[in-house]
Amino acid sequence: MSAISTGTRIVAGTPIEAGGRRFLPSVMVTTLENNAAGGIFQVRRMRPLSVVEESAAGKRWHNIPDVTQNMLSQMAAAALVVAGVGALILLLNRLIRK
Amino acid sequence: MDKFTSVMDQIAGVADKANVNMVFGEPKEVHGRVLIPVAEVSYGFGLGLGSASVECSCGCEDEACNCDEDPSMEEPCCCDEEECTCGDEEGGFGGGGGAGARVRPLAYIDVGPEDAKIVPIQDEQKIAMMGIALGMWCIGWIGLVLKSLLKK
Repeated sequence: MSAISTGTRIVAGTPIEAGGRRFLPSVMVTTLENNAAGGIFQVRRMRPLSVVEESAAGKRWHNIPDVTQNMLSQMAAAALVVAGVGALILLLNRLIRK
Repeated sequence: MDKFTSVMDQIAGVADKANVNMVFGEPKEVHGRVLIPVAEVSYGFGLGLGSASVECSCGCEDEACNCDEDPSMEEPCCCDEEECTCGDEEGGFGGGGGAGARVRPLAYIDVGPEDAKIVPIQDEQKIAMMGIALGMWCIGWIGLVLKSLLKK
């Protein structure tokens, strides 16, 4: 009897004091776990989302981008576009020749 | 059994250490600026247990005469009055487990005397590999299209 469960939640981390400022981090935690009679497993991924900077001047919100993942996603999208345009040209060429 | 307990303790230790606060590292002061490393942390562990039952055989293939359920009964339900034979030793017990963790640097927070900014970190090797794969993909499609267009 297996019970695979997944979950995503946003968790606030411990505030960090640095350079006379206070940073409040937030992290997205994604969990995949299975509790079965014969065995268990758990996979957890913690991805930083943002930090809120608190200083005497006020509060500022900083996003933490995953530039590598963004670039890979853009490249994958470009590959899909190339494949789509190529397939369209092949199809049109076949229709014209008929 | 002691080894199994030891493995369980190690796995539990990994899970405890990989908490949310691992994502943001300790602030380091470099040339008058404070740097806070930021990383994506992933970890996983799994374990399985199993035990073998006592093997018994009646010497016949009729499932109705199977004596696996209660080999200790005085009159085993065997066919043709054959005796039920069971192994002398008890069933075995075994288990295994594994754990792994990955830390991928994403950025660092650069805290200066006047402002703080997020400086992203790129994985150049991964991007280069993907770029090569994308280039080959595009060349393949261009070749396929040209071959189709130039075909008589």
